Amino acid sequence: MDAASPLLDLTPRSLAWSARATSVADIERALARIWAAAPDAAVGPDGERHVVARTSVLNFVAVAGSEEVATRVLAAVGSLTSRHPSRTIVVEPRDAEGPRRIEAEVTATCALARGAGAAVCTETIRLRAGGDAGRHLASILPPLLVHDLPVTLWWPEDVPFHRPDFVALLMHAIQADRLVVDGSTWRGDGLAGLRGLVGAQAASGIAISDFALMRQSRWRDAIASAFDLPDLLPYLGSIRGVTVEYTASRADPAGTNVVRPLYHAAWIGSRLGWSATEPLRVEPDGRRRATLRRPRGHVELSLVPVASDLPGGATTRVRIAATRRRSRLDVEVTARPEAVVVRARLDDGEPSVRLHHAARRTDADLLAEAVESGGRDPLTTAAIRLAGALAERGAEAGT
Amino acid sequence: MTDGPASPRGPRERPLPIREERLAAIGRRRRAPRTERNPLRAGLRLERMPDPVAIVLFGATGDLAHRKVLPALYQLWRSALLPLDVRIVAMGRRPYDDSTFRQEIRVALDAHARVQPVDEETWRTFAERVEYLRGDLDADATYDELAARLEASDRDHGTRGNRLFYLATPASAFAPVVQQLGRVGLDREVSGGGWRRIVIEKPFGRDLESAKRLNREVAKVFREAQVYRIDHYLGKETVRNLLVFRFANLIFEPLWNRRYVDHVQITVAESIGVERRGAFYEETGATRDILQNHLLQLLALVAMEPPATFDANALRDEKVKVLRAVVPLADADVARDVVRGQYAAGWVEGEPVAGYREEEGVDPLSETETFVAARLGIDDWRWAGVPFYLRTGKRLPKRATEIAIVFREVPHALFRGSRSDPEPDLLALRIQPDEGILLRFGAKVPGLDVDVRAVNMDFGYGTSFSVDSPDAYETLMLDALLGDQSLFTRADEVEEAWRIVRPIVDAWVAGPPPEFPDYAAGSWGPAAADAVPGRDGRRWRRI
Repeated sequence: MDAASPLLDLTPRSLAWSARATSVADIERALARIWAAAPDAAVGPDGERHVVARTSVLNFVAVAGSEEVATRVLAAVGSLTSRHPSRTIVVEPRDAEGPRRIEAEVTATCALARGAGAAVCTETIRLRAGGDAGRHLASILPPLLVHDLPVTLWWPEDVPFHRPDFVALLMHAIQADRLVVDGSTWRGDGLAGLRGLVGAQAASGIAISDFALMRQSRWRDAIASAFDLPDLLPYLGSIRGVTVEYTASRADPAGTNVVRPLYHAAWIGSRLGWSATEPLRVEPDGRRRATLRRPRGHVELSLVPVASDLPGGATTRVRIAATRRRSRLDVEVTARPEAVVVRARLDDGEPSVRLHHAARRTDADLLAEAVESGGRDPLTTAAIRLAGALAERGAEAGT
Repeated sequence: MTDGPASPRGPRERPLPIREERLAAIGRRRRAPRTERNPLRAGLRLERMPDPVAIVLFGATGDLAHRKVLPALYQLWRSALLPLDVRIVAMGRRPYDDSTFRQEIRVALDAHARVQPVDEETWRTFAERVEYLRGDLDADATYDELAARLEASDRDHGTRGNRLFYLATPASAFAPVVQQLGRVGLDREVSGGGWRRIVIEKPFGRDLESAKRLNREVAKVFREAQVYRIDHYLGKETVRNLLVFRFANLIFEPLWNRRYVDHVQITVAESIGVERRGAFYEETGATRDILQNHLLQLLALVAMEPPATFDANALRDEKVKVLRAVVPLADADVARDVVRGQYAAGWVEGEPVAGYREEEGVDPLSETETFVAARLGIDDWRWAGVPFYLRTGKRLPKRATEIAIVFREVPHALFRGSRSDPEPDLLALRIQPDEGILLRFGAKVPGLDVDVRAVNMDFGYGTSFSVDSPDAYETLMLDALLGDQSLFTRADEVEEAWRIVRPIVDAWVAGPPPEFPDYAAGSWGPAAADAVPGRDGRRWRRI
């Protein structure tokens, strides 16, 4: 292990120390040496002396499949540390067939307060686990967690829900309080991942934050706004069809991830008490269809791929059709750059049109929201459960 | 079994057995299916987006509009919390057009916007929604043109008949503006025709009679549910958190009463002087400017009983109840329990500053108080016998607003041998700056002997949440647009607060002239203020 060494300040407002380690025990010793080497009062670049206060309110564990993802994760977590000081552990399983090895870079960073206030210090462990060590994270991570603090596990890419070591890690080893995922990054159509997520949620009771669902918050607000008008509200009980159009790769429309378009329908259905009667099936024209039961009738769901050069799986339009007492309501919510447009039309009347802001949210924004969410969010839980029911495998017989 | 007496409601309204009543209820539901709440709104954590609206800002060229109201609107726009179909109609007397007014607010935003620098694209889209209407606030023609503009706004910009009138004008203009809005029918809400709300800035009158008069004038035109009296302190994050702190946690409420609380101190300290508002301040003074509203609102939030719901009226009912329980001050009480002061020249933050009487717009013989400290009591089951010490002043050593709950000492001093003087436990809620909550309690100093020292547990907003706290005006503006009156003051609250303050002002008017100035700028007020808690064997908290 290298001796703990002071680094040059990362920014004019922070100081950092780092060390390297090659085993879990080494990592613990490295942290101890860093804190022993860090003086009680550090002198910042501004010449002020700052009391060094080691702070953690959270254990933050991220599993990154590549160097690039690890860098992205560290950038997002780094932007939160001054407000959510945490022990952050970023694990990169490497070279599964290679020799067993552990390489860790341990860093303590102190954000300096203005003037001579206390510096808030956090710890980051970037850990590369090679060979079969990468498949036994459940044995590596527990000793590195600060005890009695909540654990958030972020798995930014495809999650191996089916692997026994994932279940062991999530449920038994680190006893995570929150699992943060991004369903829009899952491989293929993403439906297997969705089933896995529902399984994990049911088995562990863990709180879930899915960036794919969180990114749609403005869409949800826009869709809800169409029914805020008292005249249109009763139509919520008479919805007959929901159609979601999404961007799809020209080469492989069926292989496009449909988690985001499915979440729109699942959210609406979960709010209105719908259940899945026929899960999604792929039609010859590439559309996916499903049938849901509402309290007094059925709802036809269509997910419609629209060939595009844009990244696949992004929702471009949501259409809701409802009929009530021989009157028909059509609501159409369409994506615009940084906005969504809601158009509601009752029979042949003049359509009501409204624009809503829908600024893109970064990983750091979403992560902050996830960290600040307390406990299980009923909206997320119900939407994921219905999405999972619609993604059931039995329906794929129709393909 | 005999038949009971005939029902006074007649045979058609005889009481039904439960089964029949249940079936009848089902029948009624079938006949009239109604869903009153939008189920898609349930669980949305996102802030609700206000309806399309035209915001009419009276006094748009004034200091308040430039420093607070317009920056708050810009920030809401920047945070995508205003609807895209929003128009801001700025009203003023100055001979501006849209372009010159926009230039002026751009300068104001560069100086006062919460997030700097001002984003050019955001500014461009915001500015194109702002229009200027020049007019005399007393002239009928101004309001005729305003009504025409608003109709055009509905037609051309989709504002759907929703109007928010914001009175950032001198108080003398409130009643005339309200009357004129009524004259041209801009107060009227018709089904499907949009809502109409009015925001009134303090001061709400300058005494009980004028407050009642103003409330009557407003009530002639607007219903109370349309009126939003703004006290910006209620929009501050820590003030709102006070409700959460008290009523979402179990551990504090059992202690929140006369059995455990020794006394409460509420301080609103300002390091600034009257700046360029000397003429305004001359008519107001610390009592009307801060004590009557900010300090009494904070007192009400600290002392009120838990409301049954978090509904605006339930909350305000409880605040009114506690204000009604504040013990009225007799003349003798005022002489003993209230101290006023006025600052002389001194030093603040390393700079020499002028005395109040040397400030621009101030009478050289002014008797206006720039400091007031008071001891109030609340005659109710919870607080009887617990003094509430309130103080506020200008040109004090620092800017700080704080509520301190000082707990009683333990009944038996077990650690008498401790070298440190035992300090009572304390809970301090910092409103500004550095919003947060501090809990002070005794802990053993490490060592072989038993030495007890006060230690602090400190919660700071800035270090616990990644979301920046919004400015109070942003919060309140958004609430007004969403129709949430919880953080606005109701007419009866205003009148109760004036009832508490009236004897103080009356006693001063009737009494001999004060010996002003009596404290140096940069000090904690006149020496006599120390006697307010000192007479009870207590002292002001060092902030």
